[in-house]
Formats: sequence, C-alpha cells, structure tokens
Amino acid sequence: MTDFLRPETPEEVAEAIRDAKAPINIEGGGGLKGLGRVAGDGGTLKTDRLKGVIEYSPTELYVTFAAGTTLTDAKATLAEKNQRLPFDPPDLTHLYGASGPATVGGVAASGLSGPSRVASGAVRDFLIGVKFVDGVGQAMHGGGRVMKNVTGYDLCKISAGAMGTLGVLTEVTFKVLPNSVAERTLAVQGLDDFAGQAAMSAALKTPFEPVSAAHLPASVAGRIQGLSHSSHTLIRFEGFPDSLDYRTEAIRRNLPVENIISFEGEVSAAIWEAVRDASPFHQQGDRSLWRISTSPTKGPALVEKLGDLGGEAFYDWAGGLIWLALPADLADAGATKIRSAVSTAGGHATLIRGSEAVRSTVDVFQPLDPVVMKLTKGLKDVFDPKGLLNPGRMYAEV
Amino acid sequence: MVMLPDPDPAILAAREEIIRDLRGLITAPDGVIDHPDEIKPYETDALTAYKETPLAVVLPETTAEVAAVMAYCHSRGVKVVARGAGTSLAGGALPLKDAIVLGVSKMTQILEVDYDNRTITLQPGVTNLGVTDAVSADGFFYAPDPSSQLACTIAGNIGMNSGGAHCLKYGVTSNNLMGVELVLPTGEVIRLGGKHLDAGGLDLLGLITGSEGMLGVVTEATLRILHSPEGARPILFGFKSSRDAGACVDAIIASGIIPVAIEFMDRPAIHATEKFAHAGYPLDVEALLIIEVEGSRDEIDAMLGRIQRIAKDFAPAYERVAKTSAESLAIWKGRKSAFGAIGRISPDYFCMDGTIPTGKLPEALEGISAICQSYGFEVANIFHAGDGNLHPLILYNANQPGETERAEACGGEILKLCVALGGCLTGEHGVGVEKRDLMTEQFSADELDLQRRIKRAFDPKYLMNPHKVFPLETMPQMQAAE
Repeated sequence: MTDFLRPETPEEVAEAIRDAKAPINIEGGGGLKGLGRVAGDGGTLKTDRLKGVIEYSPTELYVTFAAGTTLTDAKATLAEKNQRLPFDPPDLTHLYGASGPATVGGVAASGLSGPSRVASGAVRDFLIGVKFVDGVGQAMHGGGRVMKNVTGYDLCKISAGAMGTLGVLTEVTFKVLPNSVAERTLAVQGLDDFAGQAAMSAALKTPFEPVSAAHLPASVAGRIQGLSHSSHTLIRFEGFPDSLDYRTEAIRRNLPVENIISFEGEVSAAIWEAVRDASPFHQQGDRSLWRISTSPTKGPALVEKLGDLGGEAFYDWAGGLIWLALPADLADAGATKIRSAVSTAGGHATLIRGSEAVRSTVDVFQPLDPVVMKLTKGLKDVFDPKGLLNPGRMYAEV
Repeated sequence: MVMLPDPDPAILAAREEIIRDLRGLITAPDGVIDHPDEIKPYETDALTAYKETPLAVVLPETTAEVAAVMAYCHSRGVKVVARGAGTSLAGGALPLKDAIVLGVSKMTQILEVDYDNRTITLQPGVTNLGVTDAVSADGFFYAPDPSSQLACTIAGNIGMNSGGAHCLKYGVTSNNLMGVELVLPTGEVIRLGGKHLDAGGLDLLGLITGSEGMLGVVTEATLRILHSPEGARPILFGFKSSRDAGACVDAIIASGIIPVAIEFMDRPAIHATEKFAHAGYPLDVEALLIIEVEGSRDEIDAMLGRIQRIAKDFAPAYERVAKTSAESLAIWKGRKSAFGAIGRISPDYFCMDGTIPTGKLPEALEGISAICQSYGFEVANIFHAGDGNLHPLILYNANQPGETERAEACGGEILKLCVALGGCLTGEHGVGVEKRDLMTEQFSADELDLQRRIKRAFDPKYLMNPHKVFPLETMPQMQAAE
C-alpha cells in the first residue's frame, strides 16, 4: 500500500483496509496524533475527506456525521438549530501543536468528555450509532438513531475511547440536546484543594442540579481570562433564568462558605471552555500532562501525595478529574509514582501529552489487570485479527 | 414458536454427579436446588409462554462461590443461565434442560453508601427499588425505574440494560452504572470501573451492560445515586389525534425543556385503564400525554406553564395540571395500572418493546393498527413518548389454538416496522429468546457473526445463555468452529 491514504467514501476505506499488508495509523484530522503510545511507522489512513452531515433531525434529537467532519463544523451545524453535543467534548488538538483539526470521529475514538460529564454523561453515553470498517475490511454498524436501544451488544460503547484500535469509524450518530437558555457560575475564592473539593461535593449533594464543578488553584486560575490570581472553586448552573435565580440562591444558602461571586452568560461559558480544553496548560508545551480519573473525594490527597514531583494541578468533575502538568525533566514523566498512587486511590491515569521518547517507553494508558488485558486482546482479535488498525497505540500488545 | 437447542445427552446423564459436585462448592445447605417442586419457580420468567426445567438451580452467596461454580461449569462443559428475579419479558432467564440456573437471590447486601461521591456499592441481588430504599431517608434515589422495580434485581437490570419511565432525563442502566465485579464464564474475576468516572481501557463495562447474561455474572455493582428533586408534578393532556400528541412532544423537546417523563396512551389503553383505575382520564380523546417535570414548587409551575403554552398550538381537547401530590398520584395511578387493566379486559397479552425516532410516532401508530387489524387482534398502545420507546400490547387468548403463534407473528411484524422506520427491535426489554429470530432484520450476517465472536472472547466454550439473542441457525457453524 501507499504510505498515505485519504479515502472519500466508506467503501474506499473498506477497500484500503482489505488491501493493507502492514499496520496502518488511523487518523481523523491528525490533531490528536500526539495522544497515545508511539506506535510503528506504517502507512497512514486519514478519514478527513469523509465529511458532512449525513442526517440531522433536531426535533428527534439526533445527528449523524461522516467521521471526518471537523468538530468546529459539527458544532456550527448544531448551533444553527440552537443545539449541542451534551458531553461538551474538549478540543485538545492545541496541546499537540494543532497539527490538524479535531474531528467527530476523533472525539468518539478518544472518548474524552468535558466538564458537563459529571452531570450529563460522557461521549459513550451520547454516541448512539456507529458505522465502522473492521480490520478485515468489512463494513459494520452498531446502535442506530435512538437513545433506547438494547438490541444486541453495545458496539457504540466499545467503539468510544477505543482509539481506532477496533475499527475505522466512518459515521457517528450522537444524541443532541438544546442549548441552555442561560448559564451562571458561582465561584468561591481562596479555598485550598481539600476545602474546594468538599464544597463541590456539597453542591452536588443538593437537588439544585449543578452541571459542572471545578477547583482551580491560584496559579492556574491566574492564567484564565476573567479570573483573579486566587484559587477558584467554580460551580456551574444552566436553565431558564427564573430557575437559575432560584437554584443559585438555594446553593448559596446550602454551602458552608462565604463571599460567593458569580459569572454570567458568555463570561461563564469562556471560563468553562478553558477548563474543558486544559487551556491553563497550553503554555510550556514541554511539560508532560496527565489526566487522572479518581473518585472526587480522593482527588486532593492524590495530588498532595504527588506533590514532590513538582507539578501543577487543577480539578474538574467535582475533584474526580485531575489535570496534572509535570516538569519536562522527569525521566518517566512521573509515571511510576502516579500509577502507584492512582492504583491505591482507585481510578486511572492517562499521559495526555508527553515527549515521543517518553511515550515510546511509558504506558500512556493505565496498565490493565492481566485478565482484563486477555479480554482486551481477545476483542482486538475479534475486530482486527491481522492487527492492522493502530496497533500499539493504546497498549503495546493490542 | 421459538425453538430451543437439543440438550446434550451426556450432560443430562451426568445430572446426579454434577449436582453432587455443585453441592461441594456451595456452603449454604439450601444453595443447590434439585427437587422438582422447588425447581418449578425457575422454569420460566415473565415471558410465561415458554418453560423449561433446568438441571439444577444454584444460589451462591459470595463472589468466591460464583467463581467456583463458573470454573466448574467451564471445565465440565455445563451451560449456565444467570437469573436475577426472573422478571424478563423477553425470556432472558429462560433455562435449558442441560443448563444450571445461577441465581443471585442470596446476594443482597448493600456494601457501601458514599454520598460525597454519590455512589452505592452492593451485591447484585438487591432489587431496583431496594437501592432507592437504602438511600431515600437521606434524600437520594437511584434513577433507572423499570416497571418491575419492586421485584427486579440490579443483576437483571445490568444484564438487560433496563430503562424505565424516567430515563428521558436520567438515562438507562448503562448511564448510571459506574463499576462492577464480574465473574467470567471461565471463573476468573475482574473489576471494571469503580467510584470514578469512565472505566479506563476499552469500555468493557459498556459492553457487558445489556449483554443478557452471556458474557459473565456480575457479583458486585457500583451505581450512581442522585439527590432527589424537591418535587415533581405531572400535567395531563388529551388530544383529538395521535398525530397532534406526537407533534406536541416534539415541540416541547425542541423548546429546550427535557421533562422527566412523557408517557403516551392511545384510546384503547385509556378506556381499559379508566374502567379499572378510575383515574379521571377523558374518554373522548384519541391520545393522552402525561408529562412530568421536577424542581421547586415555583420551578414546576413555571415549567408546566411553558409546556401549556407550547401545547396550545396542538389544540388539546383536555388539560389537567396536578396541583398537589394527591392530584399527581391520581394522574399516575391510571398509567401505572395500565398493564393490569389490559390484563382484565383480555385473557392474555404480549407486551412489545420497539423504539422509533420520535417523529415517526404517527406513522408507527397507523402501521401498528393496520398490522393488528390484518391479524384480527386488538391492540392498546402505551409508549415512553419522549424517547420513542413503544409498548404496543397485543391482546389475544392463549386458550384458542394457534392464537399464541399468530400473536407472536403479529408482534414480529410490529418490530420489523420499528426497524423499517429507523428504530430498533428492543428499547429496554432485551432480545432474549423472544426477538432472537428477528435479529437478522437489524443486523447483517457479518454483523451477527462479529457479535458472536465478541461473546467467544469472553466465553470460549459458548456456555452462558447460549440460546439467546442470536438466531439459532448460526449456532452449528459456531460450534463446528470450536
């Protein structure tokens, strides 16, 4: 095969896979090329020419895109009908030097969700249909257009976050929701990580339905436009204005803290966009960047335990998602210490950004228990028996 | 009628030995059931048209016991049918003659409630309502609410990815399940996910949810719990046509309002229900919508006001807002007793479970009515309208020779219609044995083969619930491939 393929139809994708004699790197727009292990240098198949809206039914709340549609175009299509992707996908392409645009296929394959994940759900919860080409060049589908569907095994969920190791996504169908009418973020300044996390848990334990909760230490907050150089514990609400007034007032009464300030509308939205895309860590691109998922109350102690690595952290998902930036000169990007701390606390850690040298030697994704690894390899054999699709991108042996 | 595979005579012949071996693995004296009278309750589930007597019933109490039983069955080549409470409407727990039933009814401990992280961890024999009961005193609840929630277990909910009336807002089981401990068909034990979000690695948790007891046995589950809303109240609308009711649902959702539930009943369902429950439903309308919203008193009033203004465009013939919790109960009373009411007017009924894109509601109703007419059956329609999940009830009489088979065929036509309209065969009940032979309507031979190979990655000997979900015709090739 040639080194670089850009098929224009799902049939061409299938043909390319059938013709392939050696492993292929699967890409959407190429923007997330830096995410994952450094795998072999086989050919590349880009899906960026599979473009456009295949079907959009705003009243039935679903949309089907060709996988190579850029995230920007997809959002613009939905915005025309005042709708959105409810899992608020982060655009992390700038972490890797913006070598290409984020695509909806990449959003599905990377399985990364934004701040609203804590209330609305993840990519895997809104990916209700997929079409893909498996490793022997057969076109397959899973799910469909409807939210409630238990017909056969859930191939949408197994596709979300599989990093293109099981199939080449050609079409993705998402459940969509209307944009919120209004939004408001309450912020408490000056809390330490532990007090900030406790405030977030307290907010989520009420009936007032916050949609996101993040805690930013002072140095991180200082790098977000609109926030002062002080720690910020942020709690976001969406809804009709009268309801926002009621619920934010009720939360103020329920939280054991004082001096709560608030951000409205676009100012609030811009802050959450920065949190979502880990914008405070865009600078100093040589620092390695970790994304750790743990139970929210374990977050601050986990970060404290990793303090001697000399990094900088902030929390999303009420403390359950930790973004941790570490100095460039750590030999294994801190992997040994992080993985040991995470396995004690429960959860998993992904090296989101790291040098090629590090990503060639360190596990980018959380190492799996041997039996889970056996199942994972078994599934790889089912979908891609010849090991052609992104081999080694997630795990060395998958 | 659905065929079951022929039992393995060698396994049947070894029944005594297998039961003796299983007794050696289970501590509780009543943990292995082999007496015909005691096995009886396990012969069927809520799809009572089908019955089969299993080799034995095993009721373990711990993960270690489940693992020992699974490892034994794997090495001995004994088939296993996992069972929660046996409330499946699709025959998900229907046994085989040469299989054991592995029930989780003795695994009912709540292991941990963690309000700060909004999780509960429990053994899977806890009932769906038992989860909410464990946390309701502190103001919390577990969101998925299948109609059988008083009896059905979390094990069964995970196996079938159960939904309920409130999943329009809160999602189905897979959206509320955070982690499991799972015993594989080989007897190996793994953990997936936990009290953190997103399980890591491939989404095996998503794959096993709704896998109908074919990939393993869940022995522990961590679920998302939420704080209950301050209040919830419904509004009741009657419309002159189903088309108006369907269009009204679309308009409400398009406006940005996501109610907790939108339930739809057609004229036959309304009449049957009203006669039985006296909920005060209007009898001169073609369609009825119950729309429930949540929040504070003022928020609910404001939201119901918005819904009323939207509904005006569709000229509802009847409108009633619940002002008090007593009035709310009255409105829900009819809907909740609907299945029972249908049971009063017809000796038997099949409850179908397709899903369609919501905009296809009028077409689906016309199609269902035409299909049932051509078979000579009456049908009553009760839908979760907000997410397009249809429950047509086909009324028939099993005592009339041949009528069960014709009602099944009629149901099959309805589900094919759902697929043709862009939907699917089953929204929340599962495929089981009931819809197994219709799978070719929705999936190509290659796609079904892919799914069966997924099963094999978990269950290399194809021993767990082997007669479910996939058309039997593809079985021989699979076995020959061993």
